[in-house]
Amino acid sequence: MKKILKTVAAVLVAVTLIIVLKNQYGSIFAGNTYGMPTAIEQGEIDHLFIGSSMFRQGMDIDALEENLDGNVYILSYNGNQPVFMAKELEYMLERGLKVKNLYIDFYAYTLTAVPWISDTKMFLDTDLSFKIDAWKTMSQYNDVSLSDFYEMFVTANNEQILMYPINNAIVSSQFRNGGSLLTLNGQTEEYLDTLDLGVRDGLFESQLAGYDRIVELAEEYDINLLFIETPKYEKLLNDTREGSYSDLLAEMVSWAETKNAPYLLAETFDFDHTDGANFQDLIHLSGQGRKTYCKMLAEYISE
Amino acid sequence: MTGTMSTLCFFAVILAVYYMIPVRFRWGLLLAASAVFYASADWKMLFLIGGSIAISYYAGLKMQQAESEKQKKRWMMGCIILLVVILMFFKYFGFFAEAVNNLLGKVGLGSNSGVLQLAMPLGISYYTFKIISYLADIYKEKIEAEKHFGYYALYVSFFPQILCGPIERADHFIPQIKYGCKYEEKLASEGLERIIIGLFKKLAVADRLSLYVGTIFDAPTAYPGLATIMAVFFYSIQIYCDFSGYSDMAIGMAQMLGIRTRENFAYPYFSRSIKEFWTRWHISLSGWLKDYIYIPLGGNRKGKVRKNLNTLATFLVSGIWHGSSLSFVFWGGLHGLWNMISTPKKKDESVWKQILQTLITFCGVTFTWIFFRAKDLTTAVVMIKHAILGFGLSVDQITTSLLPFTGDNTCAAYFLIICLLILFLAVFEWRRTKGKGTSYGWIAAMLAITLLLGQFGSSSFLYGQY
Repeated sequence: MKKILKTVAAVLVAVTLIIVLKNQYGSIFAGNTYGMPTAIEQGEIDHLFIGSSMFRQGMDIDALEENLDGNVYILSYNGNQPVFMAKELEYMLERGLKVKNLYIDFYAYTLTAVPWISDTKMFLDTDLSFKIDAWKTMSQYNDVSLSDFYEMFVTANNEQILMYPINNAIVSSQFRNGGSLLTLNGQTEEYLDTLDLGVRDGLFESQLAGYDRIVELAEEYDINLLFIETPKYEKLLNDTREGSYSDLLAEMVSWAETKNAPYLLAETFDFDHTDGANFQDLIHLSGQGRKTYCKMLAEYISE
Repeated sequence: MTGTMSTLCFFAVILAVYYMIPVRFRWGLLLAASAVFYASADWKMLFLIGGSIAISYYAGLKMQQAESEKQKKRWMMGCIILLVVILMFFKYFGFFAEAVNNLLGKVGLGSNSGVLQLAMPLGISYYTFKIISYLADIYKEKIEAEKHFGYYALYVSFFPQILCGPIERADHFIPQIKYGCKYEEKLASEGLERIIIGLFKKLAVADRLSLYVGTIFDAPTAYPGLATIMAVFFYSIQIYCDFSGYSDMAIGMAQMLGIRTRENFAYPYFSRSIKEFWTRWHISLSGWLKDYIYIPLGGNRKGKVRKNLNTLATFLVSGIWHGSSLSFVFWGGLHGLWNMISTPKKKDESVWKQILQTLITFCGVTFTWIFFRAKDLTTAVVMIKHAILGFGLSVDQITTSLLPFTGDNTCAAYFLIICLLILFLAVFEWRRTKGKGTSYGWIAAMLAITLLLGQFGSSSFLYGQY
């Protein structure tokens, strides 16, 4: 019995050590064409886009690089929320990244969610201090369980680390300067009309505080800031119920005007919100849609 | 409290108290723990298991005291029929209610809102079989009726075995309780090893596969034929690791309490024939079916035709025991027919022939799992058709087949890890079939892998539903 107990104890010690090391230094296994470590490595970025899947699917790296002066980098995590976008920005700036122009995802639905990291890739990209800070934020607004903690700090990203040579080759080939190279097809209007995203309860103060923090950081580091709404399918825009996308967007616009934060709505452009071929679903652009949109966006920014 | 981690936490608390109290009180602690464990799943069902224990205990005593064979048989049959009716009621109520509703629907009297579905009492299939074997053994005078109600109640409700077995026999279990369960260092050490092996199988392999298998089986035609084939093979691994993983934990927990229990699995996927497979898979159920169905039907004593019919009948009972859907009956029937035509394999075959026989048996068993896992018989047929007609190996089909693992670009890493874990387990089990003991290196690796790659969300056991 002593032998087996010693074995168990030795494994527990070894696993604890591995976990601490992983959480502190795991970012060396992050992809080399996307994510925070790659952004920091660039040293200086002229145009940095930070957002959720709206930016991953909605920002075309080719179109932006072609039409903007200087280098472009897109940092996106699935379900990325303002409260964490602020932390990501602060993390990168504190590690020496210099940014000239910053563009932040102005997406209403991420502000309706309780602070939570749904894309644990963010945990692979950062060190222990970021994780502890993010965990504190999540614990503040959620009833977190031991199982959540275990998933975030122990099991998250282990597959990617263990399979790094293969995983990195596959995943990194799908990105350039953080921009997704995958072009997804559009849908038919008939299909899009069957989709519904319902209504939400309203914007979370803590998420708006995340935007406030981004504004503060931009001022502190002398960065040009612009909040950008990517185009959405017309069905979503036509929905005017309380708690609908349009209703929440109006609240966000009101916030931006109160704070004097510059913003750019998708309606500014002559983009066809009724063409199903421009959308993968109600909120994400297709390959065709993002190319068209990003060309317009880059021209607008350049002017 | 019936998930993997909650069961183990509960066990750890009981174990700590268990060795702090005198030996003569330990059975009482285990009985109380079993009652708490059972009540934590559904306290109302405590009355059902309590009633079943009380009635069968009384029936056992009456059988012992019976003056004639007829009277003895009457007590046994009365009790067994009652228990089987209760089991059938909970197991097949939904099936029959739906059939009647469909029938009434045809004459415009059916309910549109569906039929009432009863919750299955925890472990009812397992404890019913334990009780039946107890009564049958008293009838056959293999054992005497247990006079101590507490010992008997613990035999039926012993918490490590209540979820999915092994289906213990009274003559093996009760004497150990009666003479006191003392701490045995070697047994306890083996028990801890078994728990670690079980955790590895369950959390690192079975639960890791469950999302993929569930996604594909729920909508088989939405994915390429390659994904269907992968899902079927992965289900074969999942059900083995889930069920044998639980059995390892149950056996390990019992061993740590100083109790030896029956084995339930003996590396079944290394079997070279279906006959051999059924001596290695769910051994406690196969043994139960052999002793209480196959042999009473006449076994192999009444000619070849009757032997084959008895085999088929036994497997059909096994299918029905697993569920009310026709696909379970079909699954049982397939195994019955395959057993009838299967012949024992020679021991001195060449290595390559042995490997081929093992592969054929594994693939055959895997094929039959389609009927076991699919929602119904029609879905199973659709899956088989889709696996053949929709099969291809283009880059697009491979990518789409891997994507359900995670839903994003990390699916390849996830797939490779699961393949490595399966290979690791296969090597480990192959070594054990060759009589090589478990070194601490293997145990350490299994524990580390489980801690780093295990799926620790709340999960239930696949075989808990049968």
